Amino acid sequence: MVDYELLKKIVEAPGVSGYEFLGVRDVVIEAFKPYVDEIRVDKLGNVIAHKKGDGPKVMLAAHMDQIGLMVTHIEKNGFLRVAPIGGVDPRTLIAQRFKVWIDKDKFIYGVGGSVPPHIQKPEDRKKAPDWDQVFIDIGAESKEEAEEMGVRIGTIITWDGRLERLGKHRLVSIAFDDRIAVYTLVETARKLSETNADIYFVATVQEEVGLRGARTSAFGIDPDYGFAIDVTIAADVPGTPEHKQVTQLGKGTAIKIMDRSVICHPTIVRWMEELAKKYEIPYQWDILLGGGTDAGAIHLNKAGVLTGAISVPSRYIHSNAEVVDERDVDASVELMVKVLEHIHELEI
Amino acid sequence: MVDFELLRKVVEAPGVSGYEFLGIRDVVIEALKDHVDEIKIDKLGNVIAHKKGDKPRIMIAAHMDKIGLMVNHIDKNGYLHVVPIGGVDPRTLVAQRVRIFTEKGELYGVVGHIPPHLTKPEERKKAVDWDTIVVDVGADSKEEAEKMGIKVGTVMEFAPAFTRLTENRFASPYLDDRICLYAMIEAARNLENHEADIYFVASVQEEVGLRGARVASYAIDPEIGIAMDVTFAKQPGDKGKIVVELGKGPVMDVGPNINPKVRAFAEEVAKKYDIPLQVEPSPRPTGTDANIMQINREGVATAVLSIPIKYMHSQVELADARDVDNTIKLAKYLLEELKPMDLVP
Repeated sequence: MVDYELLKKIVEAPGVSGYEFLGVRDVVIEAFKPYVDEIRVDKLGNVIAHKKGDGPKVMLAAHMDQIGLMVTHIEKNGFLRVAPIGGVDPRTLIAQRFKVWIDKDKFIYGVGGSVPPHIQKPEDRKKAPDWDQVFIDIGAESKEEAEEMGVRIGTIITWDGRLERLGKHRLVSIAFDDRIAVYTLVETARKLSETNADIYFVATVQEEVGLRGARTSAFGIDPDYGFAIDVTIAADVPGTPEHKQVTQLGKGTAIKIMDRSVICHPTIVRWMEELAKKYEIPYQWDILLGGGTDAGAIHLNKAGVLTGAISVPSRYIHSNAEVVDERDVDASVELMVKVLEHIHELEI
Repeated sequence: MVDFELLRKVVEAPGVSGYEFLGIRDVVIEALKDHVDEIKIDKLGNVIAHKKGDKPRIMIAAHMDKIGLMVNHIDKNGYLHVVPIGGVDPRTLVAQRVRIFTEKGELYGVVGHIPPHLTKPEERKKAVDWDTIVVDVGADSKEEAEKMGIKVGTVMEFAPAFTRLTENRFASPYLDDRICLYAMIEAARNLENHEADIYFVASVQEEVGLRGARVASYAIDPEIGIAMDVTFAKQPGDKGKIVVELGKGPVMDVGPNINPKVRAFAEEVAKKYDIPLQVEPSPRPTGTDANIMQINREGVATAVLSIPIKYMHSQVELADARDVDNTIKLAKYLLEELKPMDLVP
């Protein structure tokens, strides 16, 4: 069972790549505080929470940035033109509500406007909108009015999303990528009992624009072992054959073998599997041909780092309605706890 | 005021990416050496000029490399076949002169074109590509070209063509990034009292992947990094996507690549000295040295200071001297005013 109140705070706080200070950073610091010895924020904004030990130095990373939009132009009639920060699909903007972040803790609403089908040609209705066509309507009638409302070039926009339960075991929210992993990291810190590992829990910044926070925080920490926690694709939906589903909801945590950014260390992969088997933690495999994770940056730090990763399977990622299964979240926390409790036994 | 004589010297000095030693490196050293405490060249060829101070440690970089061409084949008729170094658009090469650097000295070549009389109407509508670009150096055979000093690996640039259009506007190849390099040099030369420990870097190999700035920032380990690079100004055909305008002042980006505190500080400095400042949205890591500087070691608080130009990566890059002047001022005052500050975003 997830701690719904904590999860809600973590997923609903704003923090687009490079703008994690708008909200999520403070939530994360507050959440880690009871379970670690020291917390610091570095020059890129990474939150580095240190639980001291005299065993191997381990870095665990989950990225706290989310994809979003940036205002690039304000039209003279008050509409906002936007560009994506991270991999936003313009089709996911139409008919959505947005929060336009005027300042920390201060937003106005906007909507993703579109041309009504009634006045479109039949052939145009079949076309997906692209970035030249989409715009955000904040109710302003002029550029001046939009500026009076506090909108500037560079203003950050997120979907207006929230956490809800879906069925018996499932949850839907904005930004499960990768806040469900940030939550997993906090829960791991909370449940950890016996370990001598020197642990750095890192809520990284700017993963969605190139694994940038993980790169600098790994340099500073210089870990012996690195683990990334991220979401992976669960395409267990109608129309997708089983061999293309990657993972399935409710089938456990996904131990990463590889993605576009990393080939996880085979010994670590096997060892994680043994731990999952020993403690009867449900698991599945994660082999992703598109997309990367912080593990990609961590394993290349300095002279190289022994790196593994787990993923929480998620449907509909990079949308305002990402879906995860809380049993997979629980399994992910359990496996990470066991990894940390046994890491001193690992011989490579 | 812009010193057009020095500007032109900086813009025209040779230095394709990786071949900065052909000219620009000495120009930079000569222009800076009497104005800094220490100057050195690192193993990649970066010029690192140190103006000693206390805190914060800042690296300010303008890249000194240029896009250009490299010979990859000399055919039996003496024509040179070339590949691009950096982002050269082959369409800009047709009917242009190029300046070639051989061990025997400099020479010129031209890129020919097929007369419209000999082409079919539909062929005339197609853009040229690398397969059809050849450089004619006046040789009739491979042997003759080789005697002139040309080899596989010989590099070349767009021929100099500095043109004053009006009192303030001028066009030239290679304002990217020599216009910013010039501005950085002037800021260093005019620098007065400062608390910051300042490293001026004329970086190499930016156009082939931000390579010089990568190693220079590792060596310097700065707290703050500022890249000075050109950016796009509004021009015909931009589809309304460009917000920055020529003549309206220097430009500073906002976005994930930019530390908001450094950006806000620069804005205050601009206000204090009455310098116009434009904003450019950068939702992705920028295509400047600030991109690689930001992820150096444990992370660097980065910003980008830009001079807007039209027609980027062509032989007629066009800038406004007032923007250059204001950029020099902003760089100088920013460096002078900088004090130790909290850099957490």
